[in-house]
Amino acid sequence: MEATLRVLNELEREGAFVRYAIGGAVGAIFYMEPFLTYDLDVFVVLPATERGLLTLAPVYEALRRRGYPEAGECVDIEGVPVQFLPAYNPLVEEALAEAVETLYEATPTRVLRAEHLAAIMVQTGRDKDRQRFATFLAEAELDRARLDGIIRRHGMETRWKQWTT
Amino acid sequence: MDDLNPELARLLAAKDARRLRLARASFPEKIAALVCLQTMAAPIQRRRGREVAPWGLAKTPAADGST
Repeated sequence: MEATLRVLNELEREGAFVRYAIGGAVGAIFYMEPFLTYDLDVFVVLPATERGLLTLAPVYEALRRRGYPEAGECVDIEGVPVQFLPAYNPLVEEALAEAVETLYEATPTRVLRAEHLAAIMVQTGRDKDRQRFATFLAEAELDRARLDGIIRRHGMETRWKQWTT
Repeated sequence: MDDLNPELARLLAAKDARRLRLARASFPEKIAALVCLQTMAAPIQRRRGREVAPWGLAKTPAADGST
């Protein structure tokens, strides 16, 4: 895992993406009891392109040059299947901008804030998000004021009520 | 929990406490626990035809020869 994070940091330094942060199941595990997953979801802010397209092609190309070819929707980086997800809406963009800086052993990395992870689960709304959501709320330490702000800014009040009552 | 047998209530409370303790573990400790989970679950997943490998290990074919 640490070697994987070192590669991600190098890619960010080289400009393959502007910024990255861990999200998804491993992001949730940062705040709660570990549960089974085999993928590492990494959200990225991609560099601006002339046509404004969101494409991961330059990221995959940079990884191929380092000997990490993509396999399906993931890239195996030092034994960890990494799935890159471009910032696809304002909530995810904000989550990436405000991600928490942390250390994994001696390697710096970023993880999405618990409040953004909760909001993304609700917004994404898959069955597995719903199953994870209740436990996440029970175990993660959430900043209620920050969470309320996120829900309000992204127009999620109705859905949030549906998920929490 | 009030209606539970006291011994069962004690066991469930201990489970909740353990869960919260695990939730407060360090990130590397949690990833180590995750890799243990992956290792335990991989044979079951492979028997179901899902190609998985614990982090840091190469993927191995399923017992029935599928990957």
